[in-house]
Amino acid sequence: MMIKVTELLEANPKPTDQDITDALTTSGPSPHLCRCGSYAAILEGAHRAARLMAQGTTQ
Amino acid sequence: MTASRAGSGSSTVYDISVHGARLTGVSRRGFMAAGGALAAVFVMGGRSAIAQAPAIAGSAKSGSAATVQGWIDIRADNTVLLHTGKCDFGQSTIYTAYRQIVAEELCVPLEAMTEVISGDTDRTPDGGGTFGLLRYGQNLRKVAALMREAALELAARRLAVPRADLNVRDGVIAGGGKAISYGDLLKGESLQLVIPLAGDLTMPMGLRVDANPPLKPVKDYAIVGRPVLNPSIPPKVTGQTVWVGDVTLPGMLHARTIHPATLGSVLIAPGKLDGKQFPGAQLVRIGNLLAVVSPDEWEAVQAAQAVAAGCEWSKWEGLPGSGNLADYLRAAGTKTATPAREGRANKGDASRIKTVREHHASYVMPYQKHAPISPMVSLADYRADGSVWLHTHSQNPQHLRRMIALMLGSDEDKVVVRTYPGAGHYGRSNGGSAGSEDEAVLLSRKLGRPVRVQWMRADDMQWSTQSSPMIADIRIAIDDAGKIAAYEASHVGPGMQDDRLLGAMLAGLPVIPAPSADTSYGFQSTVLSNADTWVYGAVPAVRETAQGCPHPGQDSAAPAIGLRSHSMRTPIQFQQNCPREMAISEAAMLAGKDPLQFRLDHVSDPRFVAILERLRAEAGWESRPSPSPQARNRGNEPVKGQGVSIMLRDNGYWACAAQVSVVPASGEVKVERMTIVADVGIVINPLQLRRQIQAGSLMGVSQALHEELTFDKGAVTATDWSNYPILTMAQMPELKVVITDNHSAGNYGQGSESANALASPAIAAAVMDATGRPIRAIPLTPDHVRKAMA
Repeated sequence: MMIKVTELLEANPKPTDQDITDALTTSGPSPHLCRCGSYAAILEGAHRAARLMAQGTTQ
Repeated sequence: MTASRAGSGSSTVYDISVHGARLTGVSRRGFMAAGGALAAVFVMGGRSAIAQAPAIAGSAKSGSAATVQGWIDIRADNTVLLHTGKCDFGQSTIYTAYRQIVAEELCVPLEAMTEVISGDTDRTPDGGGTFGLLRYGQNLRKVAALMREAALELAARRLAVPRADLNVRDGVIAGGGKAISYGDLLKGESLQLVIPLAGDLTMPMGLRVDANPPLKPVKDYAIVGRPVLNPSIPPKVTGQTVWVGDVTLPGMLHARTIHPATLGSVLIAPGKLDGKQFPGAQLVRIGNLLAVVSPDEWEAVQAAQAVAAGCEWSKWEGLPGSGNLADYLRAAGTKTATPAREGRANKGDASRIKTVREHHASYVMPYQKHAPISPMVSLADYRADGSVWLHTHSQNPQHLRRMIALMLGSDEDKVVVRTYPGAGHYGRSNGGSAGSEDEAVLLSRKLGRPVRVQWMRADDMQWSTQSSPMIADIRIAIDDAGKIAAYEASHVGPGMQDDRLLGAMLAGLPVIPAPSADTSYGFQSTVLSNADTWVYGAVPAVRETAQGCPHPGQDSAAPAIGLRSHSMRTPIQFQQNCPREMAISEAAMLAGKDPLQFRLDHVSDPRFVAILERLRAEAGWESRPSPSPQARNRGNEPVKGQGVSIMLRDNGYWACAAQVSVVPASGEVKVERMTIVADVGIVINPLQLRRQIQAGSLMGVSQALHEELTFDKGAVTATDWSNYPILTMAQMPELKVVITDNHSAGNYGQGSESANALASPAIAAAVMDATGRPIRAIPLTPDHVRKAMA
C-alpha cells in the first residue's frame, strides 16, 4: 500500500479521497486489502503524506 | 510495618507491608556506586500466600514456567521498564494504553516509560493471550499504584519525613522541605515488591492483583486520556521492524507442508519427489504430517506442489456441506449430551406468555475466517540438548510453550518462544497456536536443523481455526401497547476454541484434550455460554438458553480432525447478539414502532438511554417505523434504509446506526454510512480508541456483506481471497465515531471489540427497512439478498 500510494503521489500530488481509493482498489490486477479495516486511517495517512511531501518534510 | 537492621555496615534488610503487598530486599547503598531497581514480583495464592514469600528472593528475572514475575521495574536512571507476557498485534494497547496507565499511577512522565518487552517466554511473565486486556489494565493500574506506595514508604524512611506529608509528582517525591527522585531513591538498592495474585491464568477471568492500594483520583489524570501516538508505527513505515517472516537462522531450511486432501483423510502413499528436478529438496514424513524442505524457499514451494499432486489420501466425507449447516446444528444440538445453559437474565415465565402479535424466526450465523492478510510463518530451532527455540507471532506464547512441551514430552523450561510482529490474528492465536509452529518444531527435531514453515494461502484457509457458527430460534410476544411482553431465544452452536496443535495431531503425538463439556481448560469447553449480556431490562419475561454441540466432522473417529473453532473478535457474543438485534428490529416493525425508540422503551440502564439519544442526533436518524415509506422489494433502482443495533460488552455501552442502499433486483447492498456511539467509561487514549472503533466497524461491514466459509462434504472450498472476499477500500462507507468520555464510570472499558459485531444486525435491519423483507442470515451477498426479496 505504501508503494502504491507513493506511486500515486508522484503522479498526483493533491489526490482526492476518490483518487486514493481508486489507486488502492481498481488500479492494479487486484485490490489492496486491509483485514484490520484500517482504510479510514490509510486514507488519512495518504493525505498527510501528500501534505508533508508538498512541504518537503517528513515530520 | 517493620524495617530491621541486619548484619553490619550499611546493609539494611527491608520487610515493609504496603497495602497487602510486601516490599523486601537488601540495601547496600554504601557498596554500589551505580545501578539499582525496584521490581514488582508476584506470588500466587492471594493475600494469605504473601507471608510465606521469602524475605529476600532471587533475581526478578522471569523465564521459569512455574512462577509469575515481572511486569514493572523502576530503575535508578529514572526510567521504567514494562515487561508483559501479553502480545500486541497492531492495536498498540501495550505501547500506548499500558504505558499511560502505569505512568499515570506512578506519577512519572510518559517519556520515562522507555522500554516495553512483550511476549517472550524467557523474558516476560505469563500474559494469558489477549483476552481480558481490560482486566489486565486494571491489574497494571494496581501494580503501579503499589509501586508508588512502596516508593513513598522508602522515601519516608530515607528523608525522615512522615509518609502522610509526602507527595509524588513527575517522578519526584517531595514533602517536609525535602525531595528525592525515584532514581536517587533506588540507587544501589536491589528491592522487590512482592504482590499477591489470585485467579487462574488459563480461565477467562485470568489473574487478578489481590491487593487494594489507593488509586490516583480520576480527576487528577494528566496522562490517561491523552491521544498518545503509537510508537510501533514509525519503525514499520521505515522498514526497521523485524517481522516474524524476516527472522532467519544459519543453516535454516524452508519447508512447505503438504496437508491432507480433506479434514479427515490419512496418508496412503506420498507423491514422489523428483530428485533431478528438485536437487536440493527433501521429503519428510512424520505420520500424516508430510513436508518438503529445501535451503531454497522457491524450490520448497515448487517441489511441495509437485509432490502434493501425486499424494494418495483416504476418502473422507464427514462434513454436512455449508449449505446444510443450519440443519446440521439443529440436529447436533438435539442429540448431544452437552448440557444447555440458562441465561443469567432469565425471569418470569416467558414460555407461557402468548399475545396476538408475535414474532417467530430462525437466524443463521455462518463460519467466518480470521483471514489474516499473511498466512502463518514460524521458525523452530530444535537443538541437540533437547531445547527448542521457537520464533512466532503467537498471541499467547506461554500456552503455546505448554502445548509444544506436551507434544515433545519435554519440560516447559526446554521450550523458549520468542514473539514478533506479524499479520493480525483477531483472536485466532490467543490460545497459543495459529498454525505452523508445531510443524516447524517437529521438522526441526527430525532434521536437526532450524526449519522455517510458511503456510500457503490455501493451507491457512483450510487448516486454521475459524469463528464458530450458530443458529437461534427467537420468539418475541408484543402486547397491546406495542411493548415486548416476553422474549425467548434458543441458541445452538459449537464451543469457542479448539487449541489442539494441528501438526501434533497429524503426527499422532500428544495434544491437549479435544473440546468437551467437562474440560478443565475453560476455553476448550463445548458448553455454550449465553455470552450476549441482556440489556432490555424493561422486558418482564425473558428466557435465553444456549446449547453446545460438536463441530461438523468432530464426531468422526480419530484421526479425522474436522472443522475447528477459535475465538474471533467479539466471540460468541457476536453470534448471539446479531440474531437478537435482528429480531428486536423485526419486533419493532411488527409493533409499528421506530426501532431506535423501541430500544429506548425497553432498556433500563441510563448509559444506554444516553447513547441511543446521542445516536439519534449524530446519525441523522429518521424517527419512524420500518419499513421505509419508499420501501420496495422489486426493481433496478436503489432504495434506501436505516437500521440500528446495541450491545453491552465488558462495561462498554455501544450503539450503531447503518444507512444503506439496496438494489432489490440484483440484491446488491451498499453501506453508505455507519455511525457508532461508544461509552466505554474512562478513555485511556482517544486517538487509538477511535482507530479501533473505525477499524472494527469496517471489519464488521466486511463480515456482514461478504464473509462465509464454504465447505463441501470433506474440505473447505473457500481457499483464497476470490472465494473468501473481504471489504475493499472502495466499499468503505462514511464512518462517524462518537466517543463519550465517561469518567463517572470509574473504570476503563474495552474498545477493540464490539464495533465489528454491531455492523451486521444494523445493516440487516437497514436492508429490511429499505425493502420490507427481513434478513435472517449473514453475509448479505447479492445472492442471499435476492433470495430474501422473493
